[in-house]
Amino acid sequence: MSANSYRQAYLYIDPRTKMLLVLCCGTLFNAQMGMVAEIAVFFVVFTIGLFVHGVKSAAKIFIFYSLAGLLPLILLHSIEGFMTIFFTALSTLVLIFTPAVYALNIITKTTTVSDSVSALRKMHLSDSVVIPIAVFFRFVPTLKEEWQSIRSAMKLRGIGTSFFNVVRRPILNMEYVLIPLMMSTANIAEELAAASMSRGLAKGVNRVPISEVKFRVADYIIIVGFPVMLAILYSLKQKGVIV
Amino acid sequence: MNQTKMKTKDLILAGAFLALYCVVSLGVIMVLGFTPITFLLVPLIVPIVVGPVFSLYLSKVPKSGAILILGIIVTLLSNSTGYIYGIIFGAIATVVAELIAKAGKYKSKQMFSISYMVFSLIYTTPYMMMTLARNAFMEKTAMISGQEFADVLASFVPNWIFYALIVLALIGAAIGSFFGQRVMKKHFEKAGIL
Repeated sequence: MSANSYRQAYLYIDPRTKMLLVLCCGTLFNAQMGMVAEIAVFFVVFTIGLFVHGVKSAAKIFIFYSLAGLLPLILLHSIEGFMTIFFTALSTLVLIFTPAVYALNIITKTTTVSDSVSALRKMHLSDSVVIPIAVFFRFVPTLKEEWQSIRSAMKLRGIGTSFFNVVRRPILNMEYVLIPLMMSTANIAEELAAASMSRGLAKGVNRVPISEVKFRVADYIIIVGFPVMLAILYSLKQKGVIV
Repeated sequence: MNQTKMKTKDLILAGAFLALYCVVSLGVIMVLGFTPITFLLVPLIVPIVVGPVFSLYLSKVPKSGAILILGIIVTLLSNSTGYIYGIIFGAIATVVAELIAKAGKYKSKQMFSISYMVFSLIYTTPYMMMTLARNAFMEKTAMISGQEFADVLASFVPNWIFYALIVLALIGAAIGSFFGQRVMKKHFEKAGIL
């Protein structure tokens, strides 16, 4: 994996700040924050993502959010019957979960293993916790790539992965997808272990990271500003000022 | 001498399998979560699907602490709504599963099955609130999945649902561990992955 694939767009923020982002987005499905707060949180995460992760992915998530989350809200008055239920459910799901998913996406796409290892070590966690979590974040995009190549291999052999096909033969389809995925996970993990160990990642061994992990101005703004914003929105919602 | 202690390589493998495990089970949960009835089948079906992943993981990393790492993170993820008793219950299930697997020296097939059955109880923890804090649960469900979903769920879910789901999870895990060992035999032992 080249360092280039992790190159930041315009702004570098600390991995710990990114984790705080996910936690803050998590309050949306832990407390009743209301619609205004949901949209506000999305725009904060969207703005951060725009600078940290790049314009392309931010634009993608923005289009998805407005089509699946905001559009049904506007159209809701003109649709009747069963479709109303469906669209309300869809739009609340999108409104609540998109910020958290996008924040997780920022972590997995813009953080190297060594950065997250040094950040987690600065939080004084034990190495038995640090290494699996760092690898976890590194591995999610890899799994997505593997899944795409498995799908194209299945297509080549004429096995459809459509919803109907999966429902008709669940066990067989599961075998077709799961076994290659497990095979490649086992192999890639072995290779990753060899590569990381040759770069000096080891349990209980201190290493000197090339890229320095520390809080900068942007980090402090996010760390202070985001929770304060959530608290204000929550108290406004409790007082009934906003919906 | 220190055969059962986790080394760096095991920790990296654990992280990779953690990712695979979470992605697969989240995928299944997302598909099942669309309707209220299938939503209740999560503790039955998810252990069946992830059974092979779990057994491959345990045969790749037969060290103490392997189940612990997986279990704690899965518990925290599946109780992200912050129900503290659910987290405690999941943590206890994880520790017991770890001890059982350790008693079988991470090799014994019977011990693996029992351990996996205990481990799968984690999937019932999100439903714990249904029995123990029913009103709070329905409020939260209404907030996340809409009032209609919550009404349907409330109309046919009895109060003892949690205990029924425990039984379902045990059945699912038994099938899953059987399935997992079959898969291991059919695909992985032959291919020399182990």
